[in-house]
Amino acid sequence: MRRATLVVALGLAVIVFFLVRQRWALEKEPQHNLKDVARVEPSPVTPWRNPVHDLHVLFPPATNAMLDARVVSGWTVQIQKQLGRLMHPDENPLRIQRVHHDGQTLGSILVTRVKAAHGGIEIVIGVETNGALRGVLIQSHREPPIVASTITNSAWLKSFAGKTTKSPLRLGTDLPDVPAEARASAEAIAAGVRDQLTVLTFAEMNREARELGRLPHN
Amino acid sequence: MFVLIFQNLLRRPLRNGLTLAGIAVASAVLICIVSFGEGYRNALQGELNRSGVQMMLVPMGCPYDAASRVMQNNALEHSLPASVLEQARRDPSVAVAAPILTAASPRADYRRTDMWVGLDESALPLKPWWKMRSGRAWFDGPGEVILGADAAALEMRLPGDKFYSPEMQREFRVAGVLARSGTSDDSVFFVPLATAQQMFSQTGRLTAVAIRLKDPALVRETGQRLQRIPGAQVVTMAEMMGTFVNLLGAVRTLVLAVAFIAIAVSALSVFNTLLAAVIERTNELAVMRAIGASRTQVCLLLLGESLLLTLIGATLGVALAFLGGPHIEALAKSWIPFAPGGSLLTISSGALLRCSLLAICVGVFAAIYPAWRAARLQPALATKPE
Repeated sequence: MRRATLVVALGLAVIVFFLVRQRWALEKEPQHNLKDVARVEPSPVTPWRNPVHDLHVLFPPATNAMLDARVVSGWTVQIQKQLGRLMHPDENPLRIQRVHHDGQTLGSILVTRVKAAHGGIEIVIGVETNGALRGVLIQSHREPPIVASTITNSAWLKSFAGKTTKSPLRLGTDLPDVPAEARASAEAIAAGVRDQLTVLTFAEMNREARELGRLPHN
Repeated sequence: MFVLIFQNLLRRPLRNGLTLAGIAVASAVLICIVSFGEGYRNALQGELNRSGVQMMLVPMGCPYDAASRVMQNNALEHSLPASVLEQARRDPSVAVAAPILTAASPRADYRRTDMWVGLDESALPLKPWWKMRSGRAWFDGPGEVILGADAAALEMRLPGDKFYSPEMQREFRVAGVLARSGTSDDSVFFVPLATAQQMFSQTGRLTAVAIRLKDPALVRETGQRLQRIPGAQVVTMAEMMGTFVNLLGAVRTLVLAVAFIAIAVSALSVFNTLLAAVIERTNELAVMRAIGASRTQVCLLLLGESLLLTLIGATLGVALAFLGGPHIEALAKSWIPFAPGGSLLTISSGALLRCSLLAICVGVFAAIYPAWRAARLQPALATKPE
């Protein structure tokens, strides 16, 4: 009987602790002081605006996509070291859309927002099961026509295909160079893709470790 | 007797714990709903008073729809001629008349809509909640934009950054970013009035005129005078508040009904717990009767158990209301007709007392039958094997 009382009391204490902690977290002002993107108030999680179209373009045989949210808090220090900035809400938990065809996984889709020259650009990134990029799509932007025509150019976007975390993803190196007016926005997209691939690598390491029994389930 | 009551409750910790949780949740929901209506009315009144806007001039049509759309920075289908502003400013009772032009710019390809609001400096005294998170509080030129907190976060903009509107094909420079106010201003792009008029081909047109009077007591007389301006109609904030509160009232009645169902379910849970306890403890209660306990004492024992159970449940419910209230408030803000800034949940001592008393009364009521049944047990049953 005492044990049961203890369990109930402990359960209540845990609930109260989480509620109080959540309330404090809401009131706490976020402090960022790393790179420029981190100085901006954390942007909200990027929605996936057009899944049917994006699936059709990136993974034509796909039958469905399912959300797999991966908490990468255990790798925070390593990820932030690699990114050179704090993680934003799109990165932890990393919302991976697992793309399937008749139950078989074809790859993953990631959606994120990057700070470009004239506003935020939302990008959709297709990743193969081996970690190589399948393709990149622009979901939303507010760039002027000269920039927009470059960053939405299918040839330029296709140049991302096949790249991995080991690729530098730099304009003029492994990505085609762009006109000077579009350079800032194109670099932001490339950096956004690189960062998402980096976080995905850690998220998948998390998954592998969990499958091997080294980490608890998220 | 209190020790006996307490020990009896500890004998079935899981069952009693679940009953407690049920009572706590039902009480918390009831407290939040009762407090929400009170808080909403206070916050709405506070916001309308804070802005000091006593009335609005809007185009002909449904005045409440128009005024609520303007308050929430939504676009109107019709507009007013700018001459309305001059006429309003000429009225001797008008202290401030601020022109507003709101326009929606749909981005169909991206499944989004940009909300633009054009203001002139006379609107500043009517927006006391405007605090800058960074940058300047007003425009230096026609090509500048001030972004609401959410708009800036979504577009990842800081003061000095460029900002482009593809639909209007116009480039801006971010003058400042507003601190989050909890109002619809958070998701809006503010530009100078003339810029907005030019962007949306509304030169010389306005969506509304917000009016502050020199003396709030003159609302009726001034309203009657301004009503004579052709093409415009007057909506007072008191009328608007009445409409909003009535709208909320209907929703609140529905939610209150749900809360009462929760209370009824928790009463059944108490009833079930106590009845099970009586059935399980038939022998024990009969022994008590055999050794001299009166029917009243047995009855009081059961009623005491119920009272303690509901008392603890109601206390937990109060704690839960304080902890979970802000989350319920955040949820409610998304579906109520006009969510004013600030806290909508005002948990008063009166509301706490009323809800706790109701929970306790319901608990005691639920215990009447089990207590009566326990009191009727014959002492002879003590000899019957369990």
